[in-house]
Amino acid sequence: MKKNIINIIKLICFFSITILLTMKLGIIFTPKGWYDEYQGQIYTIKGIKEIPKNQIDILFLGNSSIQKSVSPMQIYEQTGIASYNYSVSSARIYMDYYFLQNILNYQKPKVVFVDTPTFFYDTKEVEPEQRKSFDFENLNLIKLKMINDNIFETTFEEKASYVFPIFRYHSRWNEVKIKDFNTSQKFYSVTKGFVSSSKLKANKNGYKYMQPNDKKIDMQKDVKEYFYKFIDLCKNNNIEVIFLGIPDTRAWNYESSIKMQELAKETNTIFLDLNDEKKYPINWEKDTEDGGMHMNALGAITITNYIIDYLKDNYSFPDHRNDKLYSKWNEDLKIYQKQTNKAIKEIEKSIKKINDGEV
Amino acid sequence: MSYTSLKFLLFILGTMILYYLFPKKYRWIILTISSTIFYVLLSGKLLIFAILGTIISYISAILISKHEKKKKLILTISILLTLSFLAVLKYDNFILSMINPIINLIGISIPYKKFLLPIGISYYTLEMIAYITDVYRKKNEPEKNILKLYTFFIYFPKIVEGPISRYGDLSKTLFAENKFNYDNFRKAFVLIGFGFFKKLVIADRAGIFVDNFFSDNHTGILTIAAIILYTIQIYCDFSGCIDIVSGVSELFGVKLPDNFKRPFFSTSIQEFWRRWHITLGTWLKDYIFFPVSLSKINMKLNLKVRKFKFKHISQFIIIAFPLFFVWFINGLWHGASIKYVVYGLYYYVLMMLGVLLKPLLDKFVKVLKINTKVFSYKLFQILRTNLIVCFGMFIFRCETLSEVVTLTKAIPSTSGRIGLFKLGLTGADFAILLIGVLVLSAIELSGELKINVREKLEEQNLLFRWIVYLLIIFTIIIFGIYGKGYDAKSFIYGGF
Repeated sequence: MKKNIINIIKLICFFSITILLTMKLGIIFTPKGWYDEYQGQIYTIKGIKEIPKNQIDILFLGNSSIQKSVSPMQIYEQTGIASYNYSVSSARIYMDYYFLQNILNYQKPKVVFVDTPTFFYDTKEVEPEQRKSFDFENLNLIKLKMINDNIFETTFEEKASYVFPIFRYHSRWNEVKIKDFNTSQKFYSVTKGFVSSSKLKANKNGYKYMQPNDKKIDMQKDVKEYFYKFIDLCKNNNIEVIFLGIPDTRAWNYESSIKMQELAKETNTIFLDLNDEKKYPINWEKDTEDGGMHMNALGAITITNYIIDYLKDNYSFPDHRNDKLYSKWNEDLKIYQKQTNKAIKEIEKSIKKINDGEV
Repeated sequence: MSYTSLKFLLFILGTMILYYLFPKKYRWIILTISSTIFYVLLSGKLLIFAILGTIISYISAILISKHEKKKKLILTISILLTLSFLAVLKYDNFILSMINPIINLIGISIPYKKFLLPIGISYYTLEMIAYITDVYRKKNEPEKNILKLYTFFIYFPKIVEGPISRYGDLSKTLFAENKFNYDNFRKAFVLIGFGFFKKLVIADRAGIFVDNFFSDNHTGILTIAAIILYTIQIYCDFSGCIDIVSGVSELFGVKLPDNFKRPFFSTSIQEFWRRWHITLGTWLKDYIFFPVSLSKINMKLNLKVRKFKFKHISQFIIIAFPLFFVWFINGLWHGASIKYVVYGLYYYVLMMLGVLLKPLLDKFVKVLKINTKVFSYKLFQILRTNLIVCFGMFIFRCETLSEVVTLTKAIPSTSGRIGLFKLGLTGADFAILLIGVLVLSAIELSGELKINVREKLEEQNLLFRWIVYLLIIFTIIIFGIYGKGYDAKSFIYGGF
């Protein structure tokens, strides 16, 4: 009997070591995606857990459009409002639904801005895009619920690979670098999730994508389901929802805007459409990095300024700039300013080159 | 649910927990249930053929034991009935391709139809024939519990790729009151790990190159690399699977028969086939070679050829007749096409040539004073055997016989030649393949030198053992070919 117990303990110990090593190797092998000294998607996702609990007043959620358009540090600089841009590439509302649940474990935002371009997509995000965000989420009950949700159409093996990412990334064995072994590295986001771009590529078609027409558009059935679920989640947590139409010539159009206005009315939420040329003009020659799909640093300043105006006009959030608890934010602001100035200078150089006929 | 899938590992874990929680006397019932679940998950309703086969075997065996005078008739009918499922489901189109040209002459044609093949039918059909024949030969008593017989035929570790088992042997441990044994568990664990290593690290990696080579119609000198890699692939795939299932079976205390005994150390093709797919070879020997050898026709033939002047020729004819059936059936068992028949007969012709030319070769060795006892001669014999086997595998892998001819002719060709690393494997992949094959060769060489690596490992201290276990696990996890990055290939021998 005693021998049997010892053997069982040995088995438990061995398999516990194996599981722990498998999980650790998963962290090492998981591709970290693009990131520099201060910004990247890994900072966005992991960074929110590095901020002291309940410091955030406003949260921005969405895909790469909003990720590159709204700068929380610019908002903080001008108003002292603490916000975070938790936007990831290819995010869909059903992903945001789970992201928000997770974020609520750390922060209690009063207002959530959600960008709208992906609402009317008829395709789901591709698996590698999904993984770019899911893999950096901590393994907890919400993550387990998320990967088991049928909407993500994950197979049994894929579900297992979210718990043990080594099963998904083992074939990267010859790409792993020394720095990947530093599994205790912190990813504190100085920019509070915002990803700044110093690229420039003008949109030559301007606001043509917003020309009025009679076309009708609607959400896919499952997107709609999560759209309402998301609103319910916010209501249950006393969070105000604002749908934010970020200028995007690829994913947005007039009919989407009309439909979104109807949905906002139906759900008693606000829809702030920054695609309205008269109210919120964008300089399409200078403000976009890729011909109108994403903003660059200059465009982000323009968009963020519109949001700052909207916040000033409609809310009275506390100014944290002189709050001792937010002293780290003031340090971050200095880095952010330097980074922004650098990006703007690069864009100005590109503009000069264009004007001089060098490009 | 592949044997290398995560689902299968969880399935084993669940079965194992239930097995050892159940009263010892009835533990085999857990294997009946899990084998049924496993079969239904893989083949669904086609389980009916295994059930029907079990009923036929059960009734036939009892009737044979009770009716001594009519037992031959019962045996013939039951074998024909058992074979009829396989003939219709697997060989229908092959048989029709033979019959139709003849009946077309009188204006009749039977339409071709493709049936879904029940998993393991080629394996359990042979086991059913062996069971009935063994009762006929009074080697076994007929099993009175039909559920036990059914469990034996569909026992999940061996249903997909064998080994082809005998009821008399397997039932000793399958229905025994097996107790959990920690030492056996450790040994089984290492065997399973070694099987995974062979399958996922070596076979499926080599398979990437082989598949790309054959699917993209490449030719030239790379054909040689493709042939070598395919030989490595099929050996590691098949023997890897057998290691996994034997290890899994050992977890329940059930000992499956050996199916491989380091075949690439063979000095002749006869020896190769005694070491490769052993259970098929012994089945063919017991249920084809002996009955044909002892048949009336062969006896008459023996009497006639014994009168020949050249004893050597008469001896050749005596074995050539039954061996033809052995190799014809060996080829046909692998697949319902002429290609597989040629594959079987390829070995038959070579073996017969060996027998026929033996006096000449012996004379040649004597005249040249070649020492056949030295290592270098043995090495020559091993290399010669491997060369013959590689070409056999090449026939096995090609889609048609004309492809074999075309590719062989084009080996010296330089047109359309591409680099070694253009067929899906990088230099690093080749390095892993090489290391994998070296590790495998070292372990097999130890076996040849009568050193049991598994037992030696179990003698070591806990820390060393655990390090080796972890090394095995993480080598498979990191260097294995599976998941989204690459698609793990299904086991090659699962198709038979």
